[in-house]
Amino acid sequence: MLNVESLRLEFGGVVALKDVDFSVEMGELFAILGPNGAGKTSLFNCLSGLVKPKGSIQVNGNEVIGKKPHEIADMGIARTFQNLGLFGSMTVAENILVGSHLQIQGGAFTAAIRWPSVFRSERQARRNADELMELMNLLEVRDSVVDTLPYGIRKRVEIAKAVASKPSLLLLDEPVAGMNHEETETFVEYVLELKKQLGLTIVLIEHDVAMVMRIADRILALDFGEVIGLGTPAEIQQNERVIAAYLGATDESDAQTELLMEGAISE
Amino acid sequence: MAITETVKPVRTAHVQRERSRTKDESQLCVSKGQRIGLAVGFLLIFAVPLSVGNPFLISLGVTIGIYAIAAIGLNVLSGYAGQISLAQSVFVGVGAFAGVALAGLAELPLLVWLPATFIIGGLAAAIVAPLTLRLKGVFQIVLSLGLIFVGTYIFVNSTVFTGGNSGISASPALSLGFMDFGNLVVGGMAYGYQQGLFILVWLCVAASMIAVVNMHRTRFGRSMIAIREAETAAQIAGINTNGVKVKAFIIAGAFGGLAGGLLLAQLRYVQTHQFGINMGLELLIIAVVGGLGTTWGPVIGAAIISAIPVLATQYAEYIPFLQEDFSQSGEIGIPVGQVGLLIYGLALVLVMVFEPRGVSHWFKIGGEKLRSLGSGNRAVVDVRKPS
Repeated sequence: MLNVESLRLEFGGVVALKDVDFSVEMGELFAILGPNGAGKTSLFNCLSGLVKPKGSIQVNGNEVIGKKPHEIADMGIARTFQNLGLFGSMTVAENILVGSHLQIQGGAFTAAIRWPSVFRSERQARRNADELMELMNLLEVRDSVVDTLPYGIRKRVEIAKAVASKPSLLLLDEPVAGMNHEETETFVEYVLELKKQLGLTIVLIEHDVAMVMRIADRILALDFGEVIGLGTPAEIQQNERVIAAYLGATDESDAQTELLMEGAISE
Repeated sequence: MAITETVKPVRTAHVQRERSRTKDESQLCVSKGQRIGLAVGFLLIFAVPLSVGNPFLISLGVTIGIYAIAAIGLNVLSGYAGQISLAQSVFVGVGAFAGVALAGLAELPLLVWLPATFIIGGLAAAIVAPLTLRLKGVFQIVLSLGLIFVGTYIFVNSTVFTGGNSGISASPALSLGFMDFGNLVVGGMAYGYQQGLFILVWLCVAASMIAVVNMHRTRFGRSMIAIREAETAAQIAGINTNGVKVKAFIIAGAFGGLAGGLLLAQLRYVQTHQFGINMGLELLIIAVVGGLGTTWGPVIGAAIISAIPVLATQYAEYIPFLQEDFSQSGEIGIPVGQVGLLIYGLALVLVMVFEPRGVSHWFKIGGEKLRSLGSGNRAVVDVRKPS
């Protein structure tokens, strides 16, 4: 459903992405792995229209490059941000309602004069938001202002906000960064459950190698904006370029990485 | 599996209670108290002017209402959408001079010229909106300053509608046919021009507030706040941020235009230089002091900012250190003409330092305290929420 061909992104003279090619199948959980500065978030920014790269990105046959972010959202792509893309002064429910913006009808004028269909659509969206909050176990904090909530819950709110738009493709940018092991486990459960219930295709950026190895169907490894590996977790685990890029090229750390990755697989 | 374990306990009466509440949240009145308040408010709009005889106070009420409408518009743009503009006065001017043209020169009836000032104000804003919204922060403020000078230039040179530098008079019709706000007769009693106008102006204030509350509680209002909070995240959620900002600007201009039309009706004489930087600043200060992004902020702000200078001038003799003309008495004091500036400045500094959320926040806290006093157990419910 997602086809990326010879994608190239430059900032001034710096090449952030160099001829990246990959495709993601419907229903897949596709992970992107790479050290800091490898171009992972840049790739997401290309996918959601925040930057203008060269090349081609197609979602279900439609070209993404050249479209504005809100138009891309309308094509069924939702994403989360590394450092939270929530609206701090709004409540959890309101954040999720903003997420379902594309599902609701009505503009400024029709709302001002209380046009009935606008308020029907509004009530429907609120019911859907409540169902989503129930699924994500957020009902208890429904009316809390987001800024007052702990980080782990905010991360969950952000996912709920993203899936509220009923996307077909969900992009998660380091969703478990800053979480402890237990929080990560719970979080992964939520994501997998959502994926199953809503039939999502997920592209995930993550540093937690063990977690990625365990849940991803396929992995794309990036380094300095280049694809250095693409395949199943088992294939990536054997890929020497990935191992070298991720933990340095010394023999000792090579051994450590392999241990770490094998441990993750067998877990 | 962890999910099913954690979700289940939530499916209780708690959920049912929350569910039943969701229906009402986009409604105009969320509680019974608000419905009563709304009814009382409408009653006051008619009762106050008909029972208060002092023409000075009635006229002050009209002024507050007019500034409140202009500030309600500005509050949509600056409070909800987070786009700062000093140029709201230009749209008040556009509305006033549109009123001169339509009500004064063309002598059109109230139901034509007053809505027209609203629409023309919005159209004027639509012309400049794409320019100002390309910029952010300080640049936006500077551009809005420029807009004021361009606006003043255009006003001064459109002498047919504005009278150039010397101003222009107009006597707009205030008749609805069955009811003439300009010459109000209720139960055989004739009321003054300002009393009738008070009703008209405050009906417009009420309509503006209701319209904005409706917007605030639905998709468009959330889009504006989302843009204010995190513009990129708003785009990613599918919000056409430029479109929403342009609409917010148009709404601000339209309410500005309406305020201008009513200002013309009150003064029956307007002058180009009224709609300059002073009024622009005053309106922004009203919005900030009252509380940006609040429903009552513009009205409370207008009551404070536009009333205090007028009251101070009127009652100067009773206030120490206030001199009507101290060049002759030789005493030291604050000249009455400058009290307004002093109060804007003081109010702005005090609000920014002590209550950036604006004066309306005090009213909100006060209201919540009253309510929790009324029903003691509600406070317990609030404690349980992790907010």
